[in-house]
Amino acid sequence: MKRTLLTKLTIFLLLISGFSSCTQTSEKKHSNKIAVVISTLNNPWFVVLGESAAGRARELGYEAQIFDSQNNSAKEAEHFDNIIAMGYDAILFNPTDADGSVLNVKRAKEAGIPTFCMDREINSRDAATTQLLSDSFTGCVKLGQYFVRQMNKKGNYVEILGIVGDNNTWNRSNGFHSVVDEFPDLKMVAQQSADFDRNKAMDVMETIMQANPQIDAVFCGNDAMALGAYQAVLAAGKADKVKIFGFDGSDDAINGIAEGKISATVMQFPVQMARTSADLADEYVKGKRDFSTKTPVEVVLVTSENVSKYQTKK
Amino acid sequence: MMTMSKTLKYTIGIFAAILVVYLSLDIQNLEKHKAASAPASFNIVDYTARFWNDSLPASIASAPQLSDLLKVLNENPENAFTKFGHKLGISKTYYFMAKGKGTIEKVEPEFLVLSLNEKTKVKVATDFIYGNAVREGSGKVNINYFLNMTDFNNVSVAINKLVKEKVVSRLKKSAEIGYVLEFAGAFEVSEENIDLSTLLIIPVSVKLSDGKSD
Repeated sequence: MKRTLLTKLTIFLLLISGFSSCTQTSEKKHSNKIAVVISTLNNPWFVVLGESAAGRARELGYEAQIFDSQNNSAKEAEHFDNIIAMGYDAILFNPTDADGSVLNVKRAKEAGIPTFCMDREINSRDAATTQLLSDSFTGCVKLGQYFVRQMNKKGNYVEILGIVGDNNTWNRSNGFHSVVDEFPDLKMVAQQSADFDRNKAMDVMETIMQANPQIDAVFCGNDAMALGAYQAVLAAGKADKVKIFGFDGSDDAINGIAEGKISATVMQFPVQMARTSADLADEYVKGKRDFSTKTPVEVVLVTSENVSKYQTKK
Repeated sequence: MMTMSKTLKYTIGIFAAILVVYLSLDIQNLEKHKAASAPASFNIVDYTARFWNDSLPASIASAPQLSDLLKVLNENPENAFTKFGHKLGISKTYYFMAKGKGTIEKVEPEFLVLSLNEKTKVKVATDFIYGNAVREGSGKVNINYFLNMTDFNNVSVAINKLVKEKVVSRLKKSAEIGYVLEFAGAFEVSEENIDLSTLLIIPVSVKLSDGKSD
């Protein structure tokens, strides 16, 4: 009787422990490796983001590898396949597409690998462990107010958008328009995408100027495009008549503001964003699980009034 | 022996029952659960109406007097940030909600200059109502509820629109020098540059009187 009871108890406890282990996420062994997946390394801004993230991961004692998605979601999916197969501890991720990248992050999560999004957002509340994002919308609300005042509330302007599948493109555009559209004498004569690319922006601006000779200002979704637009207006002999506004706070744009070529930009802090993401990944590896799903990072409006403060430091 | 065996059986039975109940429960953080179960398509009109009618009055009710808050900001900014301020993510900007009463000294195209007392003057915005001061100053909007930053930011736009429609348009029409303004409002302060002379309050509730009658 006693033996039967003991046997039953043992079987019962074994079953219970079996169920219990099934209900918990499998704890994987640490590989001491962190993957940094960047949308494109064909843009210096993202190179800074990627290298800062990898650099901080190495400082924290991890082996860090950078993967370039080349703005191609298929390439990005391949990187995730490899990262999952190789059992990385965490992914510091700059996505190619707000919707298209969600599945990759979910696959990593199912494999027990946390993802920390940097700068670009994915449309999911729970796939990524957290998302550190420049507060682009708020930055462009500030830029929009400055734009309105610089234009004395009237004039024709052009908007050159970034990649249309990227939330940042629309956060910037919507932030800008949430202010500027309230002033009926400010008229947008053209709106076109140049994929955050300087050369494309130059071509786009040249074409727009042919159809619209009277342009007073250009708002660009990043500084690379602002500099491309500036080249186009310079070539057309209109550099002193057209005000150019950008976003990013790149060194070229900051110097452009100091030299009077660019009216304003919004400075982001990619180094801070990347390093903080690596710190958070390290905290995750060490056991922390309670993260806010989104962490906006403040941006700063840079104009001729405060440009000296940003010419050397970032 | 028989009694012992029964006691052991009951103990094991109770233990097993507790284990089964425990294992069948999934305890989650309420905030995270609310965030996860937020609707996929976000209704900005409903959300903002709830904010305006429920959350904002609660925030105003618990807001400090502006003159008291300014005193703490002057004397011990860290204390003011911790006790009354709200910060969004990684930022050097703190947002506040406060209430007070003052006399209108100037009516400018974009703001009113209000004298709270002999020494303290503040500006109350009547144009360029933009930014996140009201959303963040209220402390009532949780970023984790939103699917993306677009929805989250649209809340600020919608709140600012209500401020213009329900508060500022009336204030702009009726404000005159010498009138007494009782108000609640939100404002931002940068921890890098605590210059209270540039403080601009976005009003969310106003009551004007000519300063002579009650």
